[in-house]
Amino acid sequence: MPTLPIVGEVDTAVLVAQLIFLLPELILAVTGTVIVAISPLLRGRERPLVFVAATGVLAAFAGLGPSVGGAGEVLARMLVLDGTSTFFRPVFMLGALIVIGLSPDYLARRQVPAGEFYALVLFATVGIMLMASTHELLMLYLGLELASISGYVLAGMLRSDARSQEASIKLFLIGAMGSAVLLFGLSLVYGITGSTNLVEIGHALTGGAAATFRPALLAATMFLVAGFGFKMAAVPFHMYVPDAYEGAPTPVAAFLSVGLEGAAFAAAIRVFVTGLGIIQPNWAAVFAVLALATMTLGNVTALLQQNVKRMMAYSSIAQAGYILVGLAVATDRGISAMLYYVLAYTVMNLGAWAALIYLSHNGQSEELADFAGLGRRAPLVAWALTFCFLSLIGIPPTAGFFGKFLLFSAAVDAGLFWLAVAMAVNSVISLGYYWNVVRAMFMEEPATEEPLKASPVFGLGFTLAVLGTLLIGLGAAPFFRLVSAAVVTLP
Amino acid sequence: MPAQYVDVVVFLVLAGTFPLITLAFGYLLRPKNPAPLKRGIYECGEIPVGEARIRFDIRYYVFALLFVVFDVEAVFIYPWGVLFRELGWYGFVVMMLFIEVLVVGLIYAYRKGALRWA
Amino acid sequence: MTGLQIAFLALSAVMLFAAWKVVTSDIIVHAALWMVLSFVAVAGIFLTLHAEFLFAVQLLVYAGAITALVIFAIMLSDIRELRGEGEPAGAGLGRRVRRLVSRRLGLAPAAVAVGFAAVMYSVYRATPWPGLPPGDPAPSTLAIGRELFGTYVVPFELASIVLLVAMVGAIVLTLREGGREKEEKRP
Repeated sequence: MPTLPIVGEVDTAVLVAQLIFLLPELILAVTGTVIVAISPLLRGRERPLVFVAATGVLAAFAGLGPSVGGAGEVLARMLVLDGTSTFFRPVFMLGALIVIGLSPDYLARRQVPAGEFYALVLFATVGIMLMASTHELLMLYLGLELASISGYVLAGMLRSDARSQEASIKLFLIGAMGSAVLLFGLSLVYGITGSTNLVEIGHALTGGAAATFRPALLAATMFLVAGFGFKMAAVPFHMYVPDAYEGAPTPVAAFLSVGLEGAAFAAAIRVFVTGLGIIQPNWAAVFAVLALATMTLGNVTALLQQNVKRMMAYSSIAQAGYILVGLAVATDRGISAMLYYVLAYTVMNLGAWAALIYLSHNGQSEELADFAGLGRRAPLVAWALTFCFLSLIGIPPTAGFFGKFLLFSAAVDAGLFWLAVAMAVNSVISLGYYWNVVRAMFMEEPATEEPLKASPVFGLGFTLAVLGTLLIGLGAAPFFRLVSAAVVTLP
Repeated sequence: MPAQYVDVVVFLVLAGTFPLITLAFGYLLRPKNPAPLKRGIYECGEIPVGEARIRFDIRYYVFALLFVVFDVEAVFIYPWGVLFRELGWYGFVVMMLFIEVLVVGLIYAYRKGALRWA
Repeated sequence: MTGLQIAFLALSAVMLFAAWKVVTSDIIVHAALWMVLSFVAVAGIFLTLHAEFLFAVQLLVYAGAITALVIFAIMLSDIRELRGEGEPAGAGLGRRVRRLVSRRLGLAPAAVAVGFAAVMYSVYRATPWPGLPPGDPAPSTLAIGRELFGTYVVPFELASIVLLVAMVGAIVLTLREGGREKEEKRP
C-alpha cells in the first residue's frame, strides 16, 4: 500500500478514510452509473432496472450507518454531518425510493426510457442530498446543478409530447437564470468574507463586519433570496412551475416538487441561518412577505384549475408558501417545524401525485372529469388520495396537520400573528380545490365501470407514501424529537 | 501586467501586421480584371447549389456536446499533469475515477448508436 | 493610470459592447459570433487579473467548445425561423416610436440594464471592500492543482457525474428512436 500524499493542506489519508461518511451518495452514484452502462444492453427489457435502482437506494440507507451521530465537517470540510444532514439525507432518499416505486408502469405505458430515468433520479438524489449536507458553497452549487440538470432532462423525456419539451425548456431557461442569480449572490458573499465555507462566512460577519459591508451584504441577500426563490417555486419566481409540472412526465413532476424544492429549503436554511444569521431580521422579513404571497397565490390559482396535474402544481406552490413560514420565523422552533413539514410534505405530496400517476398509466388523462367515479372503480386509491388531501389541507391526525400546527405555533411564538392567520385562512381556501377532486371521485358517475390496474411495485411505492403520511402523523412524537435535535442553531 | 507579456504584445502586433502587409503587396502588384464568376461563392470548383442555411443533422449536437465534455476533462488533466509526481498513486486513482465516469458516458453513447452515421 | 488598468478598461468595454450586440443582433449566427468576442474579452480580463489558468480555460472551453456547441445548435434548427423581430417596419416617427417600445430594442430593456448597473455601482461604491482573500494573489497552475486535488477533490469527482448527466441528457433528448434499432445484431 503506497503512502498517501499531503496535497496542499489536506492529508489525503484522512480524506480517504472519511469517504465512509459519503457512502450513501457513493452508492447512489455508482448505482446510477451502472444503470447508465447496462441500460443500452437491455434493449427494451429495462423494467427490471426498477429493482436495481430500489436496491441501490436501500443500500444507500444502510450506508448512512457510519454518519449517524454526526462528526462535524469532514472530507476537507466539503461535507458536514450534523443533525440537519442526518435528517435530510434519509428524507430525500425516501422521496427517491417512493418515486422509483411509482414509476415503472407509467414509464412502460408512455415509452419513457426507463434506464435513463432511474439513473437520472439517482443522480439528482445525490445532488439534493449534498445540497443539504454541506457548508461549502462550491459543493452546494454543484449539488444544485447536478439535481437541476437531471431535472431538465427528466422533464423532457416524453419525446413525442410537445408539452414535455416545453416543460424541459422552461425548466432549463428559468433554472439557469435562477442559478445565475444565486451564483451572483454567492460571489458577493465571497467577495465580502473571503470564504466559501458558511461557518467561516458566519464568523467573518461578526464583530461589526456585517454593518461595515451592509450595502453589498443586502444586495447579496436579495440575489440569494431570488435565486433560492426560483428553486423553491416561491411567488413571484413561480411562473414556470405550472407549465413545467403539467408537461413533465408525472413521476418527474412528483420528484421535482418534493426533491428539488425540499433541497432548496435545506440549502436555504444553511446559507441564511448558518452563513447570514447575523442579518436575520433583513432576510426574515423578506421571507415573511414571500410566504404570504406564495401560499395565497398558489391556493387561489389552484381553485381555478380544471386539470388536476396543474392543480397539484399550484398546490405545491402553496405548500412551499407554508414551508417558507419557517424561514420567516427563523427561530429554532421555526426551523425545526420547517424540517418536520418538509418530511410530511414529501410523503403526503408523493401520495397525492401517485394517484395521478395511477390514472395516467391506466390510459386516463389528468382532467378533473377523469376522476369521476374513481371511488367505485378503484376504491383503495380513491381513499388513499382523499387521505393525502386531508393531510395537505392540514386536518388531524395526519402528518400535514402536525406540520402546520408546528409552523403555526412557531409563527405565533415569534409574534408573526398575521402570518399564522394567513396560514389558517389559506388552509380553508385549499379545502375548495381538494374537495372538487374528492367530490368527483365519490359523488359522480364513472364513464365506464372497468376497474383500473396497478403493478405490485406501484402498490409498494404508493403504500410507502400513504403509510408514511399516516405514521408521521399518528406517531408524531419521535419525529418532533428528531427535528428539534436536527435544527441548526442561530448564532 | 508582468513584463513577460511585452513579448506577447510584440508578437501579436507582428502577427497582425504581417497579413496586412502581404495583402497590401498583393493589391499593388496583381493585375485587376474583375469578372462576375470571380465574385461567386467558391466551392471547390463546383457551382454552389441552394442556400448555405440548411438544417443540419441533430447528431452534430451530440458530437459537439461530447467535445465540450472531453474539453473540460482536458482542462482538468492539465494541472494534474503538472502535479503528477507529487500526487503519485493517489492522483492517478483520483483522475482515473473521473475519467471512468466519463468513459461510461462514452460507452453509453456508443451503445446507443449516437456515434454512428449510417 | 497604469497600463494594466487601461487594458482592463479596454477589455471591459469590448466585452460589454459584444454582449450588447449578442442581445440585439437580428441574425442569430452573428449573435453567436459576438458571443465569442465577449468570451475572448473575458479571457483577456482574467489575464489582467493574473489568472492565467482561467484565461486558458476560458479560451479552450468557452471560446472554443461552448461556441462550437452553440453554433451546432443553431445549425440544427431551421434558421429562417430564428430571425429576430428585425427593425420595426414603416418609416418616420411611427417607426421610431415602435422601436422605442419594442421589447428587445427599445427603452424598457435599456432602462432595466442601466438601472441595475446603477444600483450595483452604488452598492460597490458604498461598500469598503476588504483586501484580497488570503492566499497567493496570482496562483500558479501548481497551486490550483493542489487545491483541486486536495481540498476540492470531492467536488472535482462530483463534476464528472454532472458531465455524465449532460452526456446522457443530450443523447436521450436528441437521439431518434431509429438510432437504437441498429444495435440489435451486435454480439
